[in-house]
Amino acid sequence: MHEVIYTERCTGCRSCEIACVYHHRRIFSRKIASIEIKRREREGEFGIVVYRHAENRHIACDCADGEEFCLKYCPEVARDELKAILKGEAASKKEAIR
Amino acid sequence: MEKSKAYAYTGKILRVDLSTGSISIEPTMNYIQRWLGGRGINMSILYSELRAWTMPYEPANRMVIGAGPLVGTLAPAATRISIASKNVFSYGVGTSNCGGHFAPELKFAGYDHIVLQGRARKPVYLWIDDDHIELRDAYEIWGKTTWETDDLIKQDIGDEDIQILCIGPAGENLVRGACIIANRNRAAGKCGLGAVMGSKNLKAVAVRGTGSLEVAHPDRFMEAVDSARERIQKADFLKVFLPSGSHGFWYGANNDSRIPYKNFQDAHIPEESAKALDPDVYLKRYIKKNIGYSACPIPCSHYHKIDQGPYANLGTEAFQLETSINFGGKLAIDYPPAIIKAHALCNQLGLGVDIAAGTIAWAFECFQRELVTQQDTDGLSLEWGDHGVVFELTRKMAYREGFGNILAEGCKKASEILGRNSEYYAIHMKGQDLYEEVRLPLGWGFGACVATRGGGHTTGAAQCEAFAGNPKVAEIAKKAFGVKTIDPATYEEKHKLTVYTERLQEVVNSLGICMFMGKWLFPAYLGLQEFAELYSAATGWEVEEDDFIMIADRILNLEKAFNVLHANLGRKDDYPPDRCLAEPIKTGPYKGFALSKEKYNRMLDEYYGLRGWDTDTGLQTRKCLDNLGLATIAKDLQKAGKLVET
Repeated sequence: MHEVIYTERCTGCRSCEIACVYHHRRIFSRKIASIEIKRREREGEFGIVVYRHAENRHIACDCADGEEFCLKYCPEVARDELKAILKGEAASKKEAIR
Repeated sequence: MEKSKAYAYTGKILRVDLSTGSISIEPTMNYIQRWLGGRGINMSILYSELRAWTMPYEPANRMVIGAGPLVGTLAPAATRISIASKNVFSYGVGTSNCGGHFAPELKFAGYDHIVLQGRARKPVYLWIDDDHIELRDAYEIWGKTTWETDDLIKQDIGDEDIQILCIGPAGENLVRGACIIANRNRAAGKCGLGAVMGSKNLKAVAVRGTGSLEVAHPDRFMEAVDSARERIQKADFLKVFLPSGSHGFWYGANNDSRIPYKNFQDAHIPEESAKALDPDVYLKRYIKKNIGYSACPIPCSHYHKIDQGPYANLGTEAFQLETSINFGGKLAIDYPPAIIKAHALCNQLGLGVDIAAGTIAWAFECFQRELVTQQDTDGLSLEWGDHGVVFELTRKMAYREGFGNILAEGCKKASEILGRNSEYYAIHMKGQDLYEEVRLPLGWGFGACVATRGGGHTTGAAQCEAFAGNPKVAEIAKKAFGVKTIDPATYEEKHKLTVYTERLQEVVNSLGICMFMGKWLFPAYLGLQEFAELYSAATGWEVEEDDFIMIADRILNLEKAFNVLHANLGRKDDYPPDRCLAEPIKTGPYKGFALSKEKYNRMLDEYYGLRGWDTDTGLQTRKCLDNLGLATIAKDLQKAGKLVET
């Protein structure tokens, strides 16, 4: 199982998933992205999984130091948090965030 | 450009006959030349397949669900699903759309539209898993709320990551105000589409889409996307809009006389009531975070959590200005958590907030005037602001229990059933409960009155008059809309504002984009030119602003012809409710303002004139339809004796 990082700011819009697939393949799709938004709509909580390696249908994330294509399409209110997660910084704060 | 393919569309329309269980696929290409996806193609299908004598709840009625061509891409907020059917209030056009993640998922599954016809023998739900289409038994979920339905279908399929459109008890019980819900809280609220779905024994449509979409010119498209996003993200008003959503304009709405008070007895609520629902109260205590949907750059929805009181522990995505005006204005509720509760309850029951609040406000006024008593209301005392009673009536309405069985018909029919001179207090347009205060602002109100679906501010109602007091924004608006003034109380040029808005909204609703991305919300946002560039780059079909105007006018004229042929609507149906013409605004900055019938008539003349319609009857002319390439529509109208030859 992958680590799901529960967030405070993610809006659940899933733009990062679509941007990710476009970045890799120049097509629009969601379920093969290197990033996955887990939506817990009941609680209004959204978790993020980053696939660092290719597996099943997910493409491997090719993160390069905060310049990721997906960040550009993340709404401003949530962008810094996503940036930290992509850098791996937020994972260590998982408990605090959760 | 090869014309056998349009990129960004999936190219497929799924048709399901619920009576026979037959499933078929048709090409979207049949429609693309003359129409535009979403609302446009929905209407084209509805017009060609429905006969005038077909009633909304008959199996022969169609429900068409459409995701527009830009849905699923990174075009800003390209996430709306548009749904059309015969309107259960007017028997004319029924159209409504909602956000959520259903529309992109449908596109990724490979479909632009779904056409539903017939009636299942027993409750079912439609399961679309890419190419696998199945009608599944809904015995276990029939009777459940939309929230329970969402959970149960996800359990049944064994996947949390599927998208669902469903109805609640209101839809099952053929309550006219029943809506369709996506993602627990996104509602296609108008025209009784939830009841149509219920009449088909269809509890839900669930979809999982793993496919992809291509655009014709990726680099050009992304350039247009980035420029659109930049324009949207830099507006000043976002300082209010992002933290509080449209409820952030609560005070502005009250100052503009846009809040109907106690069932339209006034168009302005008392200052202390307004203060009770101050946006800051929600911001400080109830709002936990922003929520947005596919590719939305300005997530204006919010998750609310109630910490104490009678509705403690309720957590839900809620509410925008529409719910606070409906329940805080029309029903005079001034307890902040009750607005959140109202939003959640209506969504759970699958009841549109406009119609729930509209009909219940009519009942409250009838009680105030002693036209109904506790003997009629199952013992309930209907005192303004009593949210407990409002919610009890909401529940009774959804389950058609006792007095709720009358309310379930909507205010117009309920008043006809009750009689006792209660008809005057039934505030509706073309039979559907009215949300908008239509006395002022004049452009806003006029647009809602002429709207084809019966009220509503998503077609011709201009929103820009809200910026009249901001000189900088007002200048941008005047230039964008081609008018000399956007003063809310000036009658001149409202026809121009309305036609401009109708064209913009027909295109936005057809592309599948949230209308908050367009000049409707803010005059510096996206206009037809920007949308034309996004569409051209995405589909490979080059269009310009004028082409979009032509298509928008075709769609609107099709809706108009449908209303004429199916419901005999005309000029008489484009007037505000009697009360709004008879009673001036009593309080607030516009105290004493009275809507002039004479001047309203002039607005109608000017509007019909600009549209190329006959001013005496409001009917379409041959010349107008010929110019739009709609000769077959002219023929249909001629046969019915409803075409004006010019």
